[in-house]
Amino acid sequence: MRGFDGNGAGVGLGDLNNDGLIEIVLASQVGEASVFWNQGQLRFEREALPTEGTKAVALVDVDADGWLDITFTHNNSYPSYWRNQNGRFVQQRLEGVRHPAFVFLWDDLLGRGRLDLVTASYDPILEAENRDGFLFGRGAGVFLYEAGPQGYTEQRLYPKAFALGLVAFDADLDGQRDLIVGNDFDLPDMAWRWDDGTWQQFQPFRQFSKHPMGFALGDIQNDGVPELFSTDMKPDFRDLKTLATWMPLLERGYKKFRTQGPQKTENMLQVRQAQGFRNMAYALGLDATGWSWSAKFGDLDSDGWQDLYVVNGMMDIEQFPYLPGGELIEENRVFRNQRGRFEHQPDWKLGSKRSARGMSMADLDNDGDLDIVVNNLSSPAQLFENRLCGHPTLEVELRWPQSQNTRAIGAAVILHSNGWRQWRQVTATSGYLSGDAPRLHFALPQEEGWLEVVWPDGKRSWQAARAGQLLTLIRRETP
Amino acid sequence: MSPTPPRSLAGLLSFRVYRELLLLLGALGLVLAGVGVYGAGLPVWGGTLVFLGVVAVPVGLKWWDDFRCLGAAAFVLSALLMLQGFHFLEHTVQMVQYYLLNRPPILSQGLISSLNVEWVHFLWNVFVLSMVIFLLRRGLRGFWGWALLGWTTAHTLEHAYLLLRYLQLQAELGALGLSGFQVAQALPGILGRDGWLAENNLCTGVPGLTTLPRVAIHFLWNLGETGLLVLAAHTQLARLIQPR
Repeated sequence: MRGFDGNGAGVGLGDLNNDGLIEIVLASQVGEASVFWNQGQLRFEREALPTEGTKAVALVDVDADGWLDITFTHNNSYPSYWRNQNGRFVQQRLEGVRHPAFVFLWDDLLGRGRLDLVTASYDPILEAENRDGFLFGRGAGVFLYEAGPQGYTEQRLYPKAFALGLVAFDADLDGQRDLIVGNDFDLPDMAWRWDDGTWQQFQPFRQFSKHPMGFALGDIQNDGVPELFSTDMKPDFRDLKTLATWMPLLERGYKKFRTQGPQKTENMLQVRQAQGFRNMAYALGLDATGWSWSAKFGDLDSDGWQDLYVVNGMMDIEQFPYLPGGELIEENRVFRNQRGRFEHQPDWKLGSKRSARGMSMADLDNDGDLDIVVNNLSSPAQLFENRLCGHPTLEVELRWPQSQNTRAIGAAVILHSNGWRQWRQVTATSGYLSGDAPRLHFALPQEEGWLEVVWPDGKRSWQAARAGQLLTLIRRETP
Repeated sequence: MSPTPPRSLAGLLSFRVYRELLLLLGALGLVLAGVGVYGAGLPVWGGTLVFLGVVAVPVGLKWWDDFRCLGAAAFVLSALLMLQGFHFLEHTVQMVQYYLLNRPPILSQGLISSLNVEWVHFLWNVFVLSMVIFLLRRGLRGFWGWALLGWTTAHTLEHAYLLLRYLQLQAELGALGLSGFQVAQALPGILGRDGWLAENNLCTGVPGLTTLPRVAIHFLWNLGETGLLVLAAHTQLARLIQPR
């Protein structure tokens, strides 16, 4: 394993056959991607998809027919689309989408009731694979593809990108979500906001991760306001054995820079405060989780507070020639949220050391708690069944069948219960290269509460909620 | 000629008959260091050592006079004040490099960066602690003297912890067949960002104690040490001078 091969691939979750059970799709950078059909009780049947070199994966209803389709990015090509025809997949073109993409984001950014696509390339791979062709080709960068009846209309937001993460998040606090691209290496992260009918670039945070590998959205304080977590590469200074393996890398990294900048090589948690956002990762002990990739918030112990799971590891014989197989072995880390404070929770047995990359969470056995799927590099993927005890739970899906955004991607759902406001968002992608199921999970300590739904176009609706339900909220209006 | 016993720290630190020699050699040292750094491509720490080597002559002569005329305790105090003063200047330069020149930590190592290593820090602090104990025995007591002893001991413990961690890291690096990393000299200690207190969630409510970078933490250690030394010396100077 050398160079960018160590970047691995993602995992996507979603109910592909509308039977109420969530399927797993594993991308694979060397072989075929796999669909694991959920047979119930955590039994799965594998089906290979004749794909090549897939990286990110997201399960979204691209054609608005009510069935989740499968979309992938690739190392050196434009995104591919596998249309779901009653549980059978046919590869089709995303008309108008023609630029290489490493990461992508499906979202209804402007609340128009349609799914736009944002893509960003990882130019070092394109340069390594295409050499001169990269210089003279159409290049890459950050693209926004707006969906229309004749396909997608492209808008190039920036001519280059070293993107590993992409997220929609209201970073300027104007009530509308902005686009944030997390770039690797020296290219600064970038953000755009919708302003005066165009996408304008702006600087969202005072401090941000230098090499954001992925983004996770969550509400760690139950105040109904989301926080943004980004993963990076910072070793745990307590563990000298692991720190020693990082030394050549740290030496090279530190010597590269002549001045300090707002970017730091560590995980960051952007928390909204009176004067804007403040990075709270260090204060909460979340800044150093190793060479981290996917991270997601989820209420794993169903206590009403969103925990954080971060997966780790790296393989590169050129970076780590002194380690067996060139592998930097680091365990995944889970942090239990205790009313806004985080505590490393090794006894949850999620500390796998299999060089994880993609990771996603959903209730795969419909028992009301969140299970976890991890796509590892060079070793089998893992499914962690959740056996933690917690409060009663509620799961929510949104439908907007009259729109082109049938799963209401971009909607926020806030559960008002127990004096808390648990915020969740329907997202198609998050973490690193990974897709989310459009099903939201809440704990309900008092067994009932009220759900406030903020649909992608800003319209609000309310619904009483009781524990033990899988609630599907349908909006009948056209956008 | 025997100097008049000084009544103030300024008098103790005065170069007296060697003032002209110090100015002359100091100017020469600056010229040589400047030529070395800007003309011959010497690193800044090399130029600093050239300067220090040249001014070592009047400094040495002054210290010999102090020892001969004012006694061992006054000589030690005089030397310690000058050396700790220079050491504090070194940390001040690091702060300027880090905060004002916005350099990363690896480029904020002061004037003699090649000496910015854990062994030197540890031995220097053991030396300072030994001198403080010597001065206490010779009369540098009182509140400020004991406060200085407490502060210096704590500072030495911090460097002992840093050295221990450094040696443990060297052992781990050796097991991997690796050696010679500058960043290994810059591990967090007990205090400051990523330090032992921070990792164990202790004292997180005290501003800066678990968040300041190493460069600021050690500036503050030395600010305290220099300040307490000056206060202790100022209040107990007369007890330390033994004119011969």
